[in-house]
Amino acid sequence: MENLSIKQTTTKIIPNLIRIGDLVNFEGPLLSLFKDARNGHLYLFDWVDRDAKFNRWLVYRVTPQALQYFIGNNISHFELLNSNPDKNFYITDIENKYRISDYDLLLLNDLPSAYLPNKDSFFTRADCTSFEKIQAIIIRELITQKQYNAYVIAEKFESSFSFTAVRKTKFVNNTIADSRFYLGSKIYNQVGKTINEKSTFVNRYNKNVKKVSNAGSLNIKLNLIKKHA
Amino acid sequence: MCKGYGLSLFDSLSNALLKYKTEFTRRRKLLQIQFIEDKGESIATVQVAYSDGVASEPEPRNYGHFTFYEYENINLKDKVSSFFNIFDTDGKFVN
Repeated sequence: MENLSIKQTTTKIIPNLIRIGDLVNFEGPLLSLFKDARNGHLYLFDWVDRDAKFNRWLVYRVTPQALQYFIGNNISHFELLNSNPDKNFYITDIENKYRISDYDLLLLNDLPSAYLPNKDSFFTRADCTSFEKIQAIIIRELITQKQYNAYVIAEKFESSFSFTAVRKTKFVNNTIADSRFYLGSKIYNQVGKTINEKSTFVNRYNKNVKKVSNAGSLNIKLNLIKKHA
Repeated sequence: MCKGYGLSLFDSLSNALLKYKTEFTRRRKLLQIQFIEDKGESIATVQVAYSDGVASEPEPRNYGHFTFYEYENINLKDKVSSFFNIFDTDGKFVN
């Protein structure tokens, strides 16, 4: 296996991790999602190396936003790894027949280039054995952190909760010159209607929109209602 | 039945090759080498019959993969009709 430069041993993370499920599974887990019960932080266990005795897992944090982009095929595995918010990368070598909980995480000084994923490796739904569960966790964390475009989430995931969302809209002379839903850099929807034609929103998302109102010159506020399955 | 005790088979050579390529390509370089060590470099074509064992339904969304549990005393090696080399002499995928 690759030689590593270890900065320190971290003992506090693993005992608090709850296994969510596998994003990639082929004859066993290849990329698994865990959640830190203390703070909701999401960690990936990414299988990167092995020898006759051990499997080596690269462990790093991901944000729910990045994870959402990944399962939506908006970013690659490589980009997902590089989105790691604290830039800490850990390693744990797990011997066959032992559990993750039997080990500590080793914080790396440097991430070996051999452990970087291929840039053209993307999420495949068929390889994900826990898609619904992972999706639910992402939504829950996004809501908790309030760093989301909830409108897009409602559209994309058909979730059953209520919230207020903001749509990025530009007005010129009381007319919507440009109005788009964003998820990261991806544009989900674009319309050009006058501000009085609020029914545009209601018609398209009839089951979701409870109230449409202006929220400054650049935004429209949408109060959404529960969308039951 | 536990899938771990079954054989992973595919409903066509093209599907098996596509799955191999997909799994190989998305792995990091050093794991690609180990993947070849684990899975080999060729695909065998086998004609299985109802009398050979029990099979799950092929999964259209998973490259036609199905799990096969062969009966005792069935030797699938005897049923191999051909081998397909996945890589050419330069180590590149055969088209």
